[in-house]
Parts: sequence; C-alpha cells; structure tokens
Amino acid sequence: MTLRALKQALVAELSSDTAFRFINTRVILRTGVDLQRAGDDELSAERLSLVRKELQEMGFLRGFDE
Amino acid sequence: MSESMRYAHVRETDEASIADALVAGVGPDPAAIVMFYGSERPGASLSRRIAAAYPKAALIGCMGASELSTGQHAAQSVVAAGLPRGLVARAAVALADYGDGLERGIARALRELEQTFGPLTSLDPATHVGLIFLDSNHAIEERTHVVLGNHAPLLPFVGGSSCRFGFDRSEVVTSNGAITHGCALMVLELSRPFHVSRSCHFGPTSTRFIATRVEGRMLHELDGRPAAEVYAEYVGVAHPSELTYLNLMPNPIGLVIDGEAWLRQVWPPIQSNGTIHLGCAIAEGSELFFMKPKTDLVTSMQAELRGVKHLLGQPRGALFFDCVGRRSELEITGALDRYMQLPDFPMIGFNTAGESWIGHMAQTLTAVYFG
Repeated sequence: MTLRALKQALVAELSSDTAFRFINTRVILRTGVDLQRAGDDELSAERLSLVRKELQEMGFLRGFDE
Repeated sequence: MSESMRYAHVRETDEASIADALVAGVGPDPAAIVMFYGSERPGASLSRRIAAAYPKAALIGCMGASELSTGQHAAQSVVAAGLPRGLVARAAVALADYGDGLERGIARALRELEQTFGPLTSLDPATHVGLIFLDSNHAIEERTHVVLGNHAPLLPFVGGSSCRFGFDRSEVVTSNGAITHGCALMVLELSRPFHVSRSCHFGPTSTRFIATRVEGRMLHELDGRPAAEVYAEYVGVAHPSELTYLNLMPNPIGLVIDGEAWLRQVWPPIQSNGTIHLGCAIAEGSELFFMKPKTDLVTSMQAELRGVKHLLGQPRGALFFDCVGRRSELEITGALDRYMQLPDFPMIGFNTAGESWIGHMAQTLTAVYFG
C-alpha cells in the first residue's frame, strides 16, 4: 500500500477536484496528512494505515486492494 | 414571491414584544428560520413561540456572544431571519442530544433529517447545505464533524459554536426544543446558487513545527520539545509562565490547508506543565505554522465580499458565523462599526466560540451566502 495508490483510488471515486480537496481537508484535520503534498517516502506504515482507515470510515476505498 | 432573506434585529427585553417584532421582520411564510440570541434573552422560549407561529417552517438557532445583522452588532439582543420559499425548496432540522453519547445523538438526528431528504450521502452538495450550531462546553466539535463526515462526507455543515462571553454557557435550539449538550442541525435544499465561505485574515509565517505529541486539544510537544517553551521563544518571553492570552492571541498557530490558514487558537487556561491548551484539536504529526495577519479585518472583509459578489452577484441574504476573537480585535482597533457596514445585503449572524465548516476552527468567519 502506498499513499499514491490511496490517492489514485480516492480520485477515481470522486467526481471533481473540488470534491477531492473537500475530502483532503477532512483527511488533514483527522490525520495531519495532506494527500496533495505528502510523498510516499514521508509516511510511516502506521500513518498510512490511519489515512486508509479514515477514508474507509467516510465510505471510500471499500474495494481498495493492497 | 420575494426571494430575499428577511430579518429582524430586536433589542427589546420583553418576550412577547421580541416575538412580535421577530414575526413582523421574518415575513409571512418562510421555509426556514434562523435565530440567534443573547444569554439573558429567553431563547428557548422564543424559539418555541416562533416555531408555533410558523408551523410549516424549520427553525434552528443558538445563543451567541453577540448578535449581528446588516450594519448592526449588539449583545443581549435577538436576531432572526426567514429564508423564503423562493430560496429554499426543502428544509429539515434535528437536535442531536448527546446526553446518552455523541454517536447516539447524531444517529437519531440523522434519521430525523433523512425522513425529509432520504440518505444524506445522495444529496448534491451543489444544491444542498447543512447548518450546524454546537455547544462549546463539552469539546464536542471535532468528533461531531468526524461522525457527520463519516455519514455524508461531501455534504458541508457550516456554522459555529454557541457561547456567551465567559464561555461558561451555551444553548442550541430547533423547532423541536433546546439543549445544552449536543448540536442543532439543519439541511437545506436551495433553489438558487449559494456560496459557502471561510475567511481568515491570518497567513503562515516561515516558522513551522511538527506536532510531535498531541492529545486532542492538548498540544504537548512541538518538534520534540515542550510546546510552551517553543511558544515562549516565539513570542519573546523568557519563560512559559509569562505566556498570557494577550501575548498569545496575536501569535496563533495553525494548519495550512489548500494555502489557507486554519487557526488553532489558544484557550484558557492557556498552558500548564509545558502543554499549550488549544481551542481546536490537532492530529499528531501535523505540520503547524505560527501565523500573522496578512491584512486587517476590514480589508479582509472587503476582499471577501468582492469575491462573493463576483460569484453570486448581489447576495439575497447571508448567515455569518464570526469568531468572538475577531470581534475583540475589531473593538481593540476601533474598526467594528466600519466592518459591520460592509455587508450591503440582508445578513444575520452571531459571534462564535469557534467556527464550523468540514471541521472546527478558530478566529475565522464561516458564512453562507444566498444568490
């Protein structure tokens, strides 16, 4: 699992850049991770899992395959 | 059919006189009513009277530190606005009482709202918006927005935290009652364009840290050092014990999201044992910036309104949720009256203990403008 893969999966589920930025705001507030800025090398496995968990709690990435 | 918001801002103290004036100002048949009141006004009783006068309208409101309307600001007043049926196609309200738990309270409220709207996840955010007023005495704001966001992640809930000066009381109301622990929710389907805005006149400095140890609103460490030591160095005092609201309020810390400042202002008792007490939570690992004003509040509001009018034309109404910290700054700088003269369209609002849009923030104006 990489942050890039999570981001791509999320973008595929959203209908617009506006929607992506809206959800990214939720992610930043909940996890401190900015999906637009964070690189794969910058996140620990723990924080990456936290991002995935929060997105799944919002109803996204249900079919996400690592 | 009138399509502009109608309102009344009342400084009477007699409940019957207040109610009569509000009804006269709100108009004959609004789809929704929004009201704000000072802590010494009978807000809960007034909301029942107004709801009874308009049985087909959805009503939401709360206690505020002070009340706002076009060109006016007043403490211990009552203000109410009617959103006409030309603006609002559907409206529903619910009280989320957290007496038996936050998640249970919100779940009940969401079921109530979905009796009108169906699943909130199916609502188009281009035509639907939520209003939210929360109690400010139980640190519920962050978790409330998480639970709402889990249920309907793309539906914005805009509003603020109820309070009075002293921050020791708050109350939220709907057509169905009043509570002091929880939140009031309204969902609107709008027939005309609208714009949700957040406006903050602060911007990031180059001084940044990572929140290396945090528990909710308790900021323990920045870059591995006690947060209060870092703050003391930044504001230029010799020891954390010299940190006061006066030297901290002009030097807030916050996140930068999409290039915009999301302030996490300090909150009494400010600091203890190296920990800084904030009014808004931070996620551990967040990148935080010390902030400074980019401009003054009047200039900031002028820019805000230019942007809104570029999008919507002349607004037919607006709801303002304006941080009590901004009001204090306007009073200190002698600019409050000038600031309040800037909205030249129907507007009501209140001064808040924290603002809401997607999450909880400080020292910001969140607003809904109706086009």
